[in-house]
Amino acid sequence: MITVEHDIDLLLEGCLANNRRAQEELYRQFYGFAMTIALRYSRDEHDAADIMSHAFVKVFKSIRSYDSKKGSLHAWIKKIVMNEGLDHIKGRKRFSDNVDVETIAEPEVNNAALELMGSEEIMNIIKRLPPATHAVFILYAVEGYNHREISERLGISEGTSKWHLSEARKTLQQKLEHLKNRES
Amino acid sequence: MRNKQTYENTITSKLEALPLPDMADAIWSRIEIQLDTDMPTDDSGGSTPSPVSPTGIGLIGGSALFILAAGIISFFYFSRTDGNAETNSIELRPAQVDSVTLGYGSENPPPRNTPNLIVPITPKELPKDSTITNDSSNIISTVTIPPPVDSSQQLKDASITLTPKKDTVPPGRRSRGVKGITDDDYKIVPSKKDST
Repeated sequence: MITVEHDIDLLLEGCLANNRRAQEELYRQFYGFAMTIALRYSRDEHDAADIMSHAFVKVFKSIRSYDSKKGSLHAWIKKIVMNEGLDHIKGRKRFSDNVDVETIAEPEVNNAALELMGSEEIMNIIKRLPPATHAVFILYAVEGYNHREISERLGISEGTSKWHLSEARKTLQQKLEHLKNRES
Repeated sequence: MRNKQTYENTITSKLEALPLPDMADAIWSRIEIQLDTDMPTDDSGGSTPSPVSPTGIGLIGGSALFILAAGIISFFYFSRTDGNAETNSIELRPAQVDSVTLGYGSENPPPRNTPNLIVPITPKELPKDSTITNDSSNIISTVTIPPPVDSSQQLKDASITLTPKKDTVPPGRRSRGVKGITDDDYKIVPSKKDST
């Protein structure tokens, strides 16, 4: 662990000096970690590649603003990739606040059925959600944000955030029911 | 942040287990192209840092070098200009030839709309080492053409070219009024009535 940290420190020094080899090495060390995050916010691999390339250019351009006292490099890179992912989703469609927040249902998601699904099946359901619903669901269910935090990040009201989460759960529940019926 | 529900943990763990696409090289190529555009580097991947770093010391050093270079260039420029002052005066002499051909003094050209401007100029074949004196009485000053400088054959050519052509008609003083009309034409003579 100490060796890894030492290596990362050396790579950071190289990145600060705008050394391409150090930048490439840092990118390759964080590729898996960052790509996992990028895939959550994308519809396909090409979207994820776009998010990755933009995010890492930002990482190297703003490497001087990274302060190891404030948090780990992983957390800093994750934040950049996440923001890039959200920008990417926002670019797909303008987020609208024009939703009927009076009738927000909270459908239950059958976890047992979910456990039976594969990773790619779940991802296929998520990436077919409308962009705003996709973003809210990932931020809430995967990143663990609450509705106030989501509303601040996406520039929507808390009610709209709740509505999008409800829509995502509904879609997920319908897919799980469909899967259950198909198996039985 | 909040506590996650069970299904949310399940989804998170499933998404983290997603197989990664093998696009590391392709994505790096795109990143590298963008970095080469936005943050070009001299070492092209070497281990030494870029010589010009945007640190305070680098900026101060760069500024000092720039000021020093500007000072040296301006010193040489002005010292060279002073040394050429004499040669410049020689080179400017053809301007006097121009003024002679135009018929007025070289130092103080006459104001506009003065008779000197329309003084006829009699063109002459000038010997190269001679003094030019204009025939016209209206000419105020005479100008001596300096002997031609050996090194500037081009200047001699210029002085020859600037002499007026022989077939040029001097404008002369304009006569007033309409030609062929005398004062008698303006006399009013009462017409003779027919006394029939």
